[in-house]
Amino acid sequence: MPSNLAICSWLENTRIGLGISQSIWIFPAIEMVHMFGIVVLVGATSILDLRLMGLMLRDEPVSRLAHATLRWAWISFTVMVVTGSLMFVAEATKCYNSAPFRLKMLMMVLAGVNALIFHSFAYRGVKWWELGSTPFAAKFAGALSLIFWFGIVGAGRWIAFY
Amino acid sequence: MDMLSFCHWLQSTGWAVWIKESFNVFPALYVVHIFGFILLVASTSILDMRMLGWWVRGRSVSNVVDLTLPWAKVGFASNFITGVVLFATHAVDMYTNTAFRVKMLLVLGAGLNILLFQITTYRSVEEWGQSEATPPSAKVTAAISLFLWLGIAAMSRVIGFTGAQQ
Repeated sequence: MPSNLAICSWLENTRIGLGISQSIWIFPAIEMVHMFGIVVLVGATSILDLRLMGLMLRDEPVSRLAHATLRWAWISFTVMVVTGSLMFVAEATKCYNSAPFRLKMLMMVLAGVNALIFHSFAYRGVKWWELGSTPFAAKFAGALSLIFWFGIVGAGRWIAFY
Repeated sequence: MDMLSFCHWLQSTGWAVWIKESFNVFPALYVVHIFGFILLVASTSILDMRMLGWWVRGRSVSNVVDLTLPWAKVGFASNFITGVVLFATHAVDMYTNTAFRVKMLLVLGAGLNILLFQITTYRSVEEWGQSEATPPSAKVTAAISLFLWLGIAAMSRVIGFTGAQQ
């Protein structure tokens, strides 16, 4: 079984990897789409998070807002995974060795676990609390989610500096 | 003193040099700049979508303005401040960079677009803001706004790629 670094090296040397890294404009173009995706994804998750924390749009039923925002979140998340994967393939070794990149991936896992726990437990009973003030579990999940997603964006920007 | 000399002076000040060479402050400023960008562009885009009659349903235009404007202001203010500081650290490179100049023009354009809208079509928002259908001028304003803000984001990315003019 080849080492992770060997896999990274192999990825970088595939036709896709080389095609992206050797082109003047392809990588920046992919990165730009990644950036626009951030606005949609983090915008959508932040709106829901702020609602869960009871800080915004308090008159909006949570389930209705969740339905609307999560649709945008999933679509943009798909775009992010595709563009992110393409950029990773082009610079696999650098990303693999990058501390900010690893932190970013860890926070994405944590954000996912946070969402999973929230949806499996507190959100189950959303019909009971979606019109009044939100339960502590929802506020906590919302706050964690905000911290994680903005942390992910920050770590992403930091990759270039390390 | 002309602008270029001013830029040379600006980036040689003690604090500008310190920020540029610092390990954490410079990246941190960029991160805050990105956060502000998310706040600003998400807010303006949501309003633009409402004015184009896309996605945002069931809320009057004034309501959407009330909800998004505070966030847009925070994002813009934050980016103006971080932007000035970031500019100062590389003043000459930024001043002579074509993509940066285009970005600044686009920001001015976005501001003018908002101003024009406020003194014309938005005056009568009580009449048309409740319905899903919006007047053509509002749609044009929103389309221009979307185009400008996305263009500003795109130019920001290009700044790093195009070098100085001279």
